[in-house]
This record gives sequence, structure tokens and C-alpha cells, in this order.
Amino acid sequence: MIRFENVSKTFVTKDREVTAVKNMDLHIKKGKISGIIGYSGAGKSTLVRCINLLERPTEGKVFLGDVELTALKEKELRKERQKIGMIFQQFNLLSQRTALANVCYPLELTGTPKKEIKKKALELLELVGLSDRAGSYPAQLSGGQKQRVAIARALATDPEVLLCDEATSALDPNTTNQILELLQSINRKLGVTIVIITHEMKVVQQICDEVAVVAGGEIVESGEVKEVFINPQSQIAKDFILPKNETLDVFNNEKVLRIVFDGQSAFEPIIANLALKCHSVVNILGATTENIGGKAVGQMLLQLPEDELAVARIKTYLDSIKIKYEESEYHGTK
Amino acid sequence: MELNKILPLLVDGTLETLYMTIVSTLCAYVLGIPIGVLLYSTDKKSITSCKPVNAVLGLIVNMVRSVPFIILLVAILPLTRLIVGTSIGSTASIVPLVIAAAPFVGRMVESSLKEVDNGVIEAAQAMGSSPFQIIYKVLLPEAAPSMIVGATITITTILGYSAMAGFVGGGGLGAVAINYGYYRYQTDIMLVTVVLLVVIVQIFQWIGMKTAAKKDKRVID
Repeated sequence: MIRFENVSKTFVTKDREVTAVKNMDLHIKKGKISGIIGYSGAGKSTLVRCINLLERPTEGKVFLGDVELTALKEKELRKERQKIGMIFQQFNLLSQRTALANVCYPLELTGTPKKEIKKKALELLELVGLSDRAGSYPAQLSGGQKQRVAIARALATDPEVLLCDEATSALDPNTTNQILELLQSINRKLGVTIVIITHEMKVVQQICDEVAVVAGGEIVESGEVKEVFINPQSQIAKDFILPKNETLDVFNNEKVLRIVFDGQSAFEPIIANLALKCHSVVNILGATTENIGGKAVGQMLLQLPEDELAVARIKTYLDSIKIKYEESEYHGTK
Repeated sequence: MELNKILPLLVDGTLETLYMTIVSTLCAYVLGIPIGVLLYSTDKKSITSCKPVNAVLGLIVNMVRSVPFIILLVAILPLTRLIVGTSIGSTASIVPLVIAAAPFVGRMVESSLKEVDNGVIEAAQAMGSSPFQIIYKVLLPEAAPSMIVGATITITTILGYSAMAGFVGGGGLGAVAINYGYYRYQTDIMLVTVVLLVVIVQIFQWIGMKTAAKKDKRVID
């Protein structure tokens, strides 16, 4: 659906050059919800702006379907942009227009007859559950409602892709969930390909099918969300996944084992069995249960005994019951 | 001087002042809005940035703005005569008033446009708006409340200038104040005209602020 070929974006300021995106190859699959996760300054926002060319890449090609966006003239590009909806962290609604008029805006650009515009806009407000606030101005709406209007507006031109730039970062957890559910239902109902830029693993876990971890303008890891969650390769992916617990700082640089269990194994008393069968006790440093694509997946951090033999026994035991694990040094990230 | 002679004088003066001020403001905006939009859209941060145009236009605007109005008034007398056919009277005053005010309006409009949130412009771009559509469907409507506040400041400034035009044969309350109050030492008439000017300024200010507040949907009361 969306394809990057060796895309780079360098910003030149007076005293230095900043490369926000470095030789990136990216492939966003049609009909899926793809997450792009990274810390602030990792180049996520520049990356998403390279998709609809709000930022023109300094190098490389960007494709939407078979169309090479980077080769288009301004006028043709504007037409293609109508196939790419976008929502923002700060909503970016027109403050002097009502919710309804905001949704009408993109349709006015296409020269659709007025009557049809209004009909379509009302349908979209209905879709996002805001038909009763059609006449309200953005200042009269809550953050979640504003984002709903923004979503309705982004969908007005029946786009193939919806780009979400930190769309839930300004919202409280409850509202975040509602917006994510809405995005998911839009993906399922309308088949719109969704790209979500975020710094929250929770968002990726909850609705994304695929994920790409971005750091320093490069993709350090990508794949299906479940795969990356169960078996993260890069340190950054691990940092995003590991349970956040401040008290864990005490255990800086301890040898730890992260074990992951999904579905059925979550019901078995794994740790108790482990202690009995391996004749060694382990310390639980932290544990969480995450919702990944609607399934509960648990993870637990165990502090390993000093005894290397005991460690080997534990690993053999885990292998025998087919529990996935990885050994790492825990740095107490917050 | 008797009241029945003064009263028509003051009424005519007030009407002339209103005529000059309002017509000049309207004309100044007809010229000033495009100047402001051009200043804004050629700025280096804009998507349609054009440095040379911005620099030349900015220089012209600053030059006209830095000429004292009373000098401008006299300096462009030939032009005024060319356009209006005369250099005396309230209609003739409109020409210098517009020329002095248009660059001022341009800067006012420019600063109002700069207040518009960049994110909104980005969103409009993302939806496939052309630069022209962004100007007239996004920037101008979003900046409208701020531009009305600007217009209120402009109209009171033009009112002040119009009184000055009375010195060189312009009409209005300014002329009354100068001809009767200053040259004929009739302090009472001068005082009344000043009071009238203050009242007019107050009314303009009040209408402007009310309209801006009513138009602005960012603040909900």
C-alpha cells in the first residue's frame, strides 16, 4: 500500500544538519493497522509526513499503491493527498467552523455539490458517534470529541490510508481506548489502511497488526506485533515492552529472565512448578498482562539465581513446557 | 456665535468625518488585505515563500509607513488632484488617508494571519488544499476575529489622521476644529469637536470589540 524506497530526510539549519529519516525502506500492508513506535526525536513524525509529502524527502521514493508520490507535480499530489487522511495530536480543527463544517471542508475542495457534502458529513459524524454535536464549535468539544471530528474529517474523501500522528497522546487513558476502538472499527468496517505513530507500546499492543520500531531515523525492528512482543530483538523494542516499574531500579544490572506466556499457559502455575521441579527459588521482579490484538499475553521478569547449574535447569524446564524466554541484563528503564 | 449656526457646522463636520473615516478604512482594507496576504505568504516560513517579493514589498510598506502623515498629505497633492479632480474637501482627503493606511493595514493583516496555528495549515495541506484555498478557506476565516480587532485599531487611527487632513483643506471635524477653534480662537468649538471625536472613537471601539467577540468561536461564554 505504502512503500518507501531508500527514503532520507535531512533538515539543514544554520549551524548543522539533522537527518531525521535515514535510508529507510518501509512497507505498509494494505488493510492492516501498522504502528510506528519510537521515542521523541526518533524521526517518527518526519517519517509520517514523508508519506503524504508534507515533508518532501531529500532522497528516495515514496509510493502509494502503484503511484510514485515523489514524482508527482504539486497539483497531482494534491489529488493523491485526498486518498490519504491524517489526524494529529492537537486535532488541528478549524476553530471558526462547526464540527459539521469541519467535516465538510475536504469535500468542498473536491467540488462536490453542497447538498451531497452535507449529507456525507452528517453520515460521518454519525459514524464517529457525534451526530448530536454537529453544530458545536471545537472550543465547545472535549479532546476526545475533537479527535472524533478530526477522524470524520479525515475520512470524508474516502481515503485508502489514514495516518495518525500521536493521535491519542493528548488524551486521557479512557478516551484513548475509545479512540483506538473507533480506529479499529473503521479499519474493519471500511477497510482503511491505518498507520499509527506513537510512543506508547500500549497503543501498538491494543490495535496494531504490524509494528516498526524507529530510533535515530532508522527502523531497528519490524514485524507482527505478537512476534515482536514475544521475541524482541533490539534493545529499544525491549525497553518499550518490559514492564515499567520504578522499584526495579534497585535491581540494576542483575541477570534476569523475561518469560512470555500467552493464552493457555497463563492458567498453569508455572513459577510454582518451576520452583518444585528445579529445586531453586526465583525472585519475581515484575509482571504484567498485556492485551495484544485482543488476546491476553503475560510477561514476567525473573531474577536468576547465582548458581549457573540452577539457571541451566530452569531454562531446560521452560523449554520442556514450551515457554518462550530470553535472558537479558535489566537496566531498570523507566 | 449662535447655536443655530454652530450646530449645522458640527453635524456636517461629524458626517464628513464619518464619511472620510469609513470610506478610507474600506479602501485601505481593499488594498491592505492583499498586501497582508502577500507579506504573509511570501515570508520565508510560508509554503509559497518568495524572498525577493517579500523584501521589496516589506521595504515599500515600511517606507510609506515611516513618512509622517502630514508630509505625505502635502507630497501627494498632485496625485490626489489627478484621482479626485480637486485637492480640497473630504473626498480629496480620502486619497492620502488610504495611501497612508493601506501599508499599516497590510502589517495588521499579516500579524493576524501569523496567529493562525501552523497545525491547522498543515492539516489543510494534508487534505489536498491548494495555497489559494488555504488562504481564503483557512487563513482568512481563522484570522477573521483578530482582523476585526485590527480593523478597530485601524479605523481609530484613520480618524485621527482625518482630523489632521483638516489642516490642508480637508473637511470634517478636524477642519472645524482648526478653522474655528484654532484660527479664530473659539476654544469652546475646539473643545466640542474634540469631545465629538472622542465619542466617535469610543463607538467604533465598542462596535469592533463586540463584533470580534461575537465572531470568535474559540472562546465560548
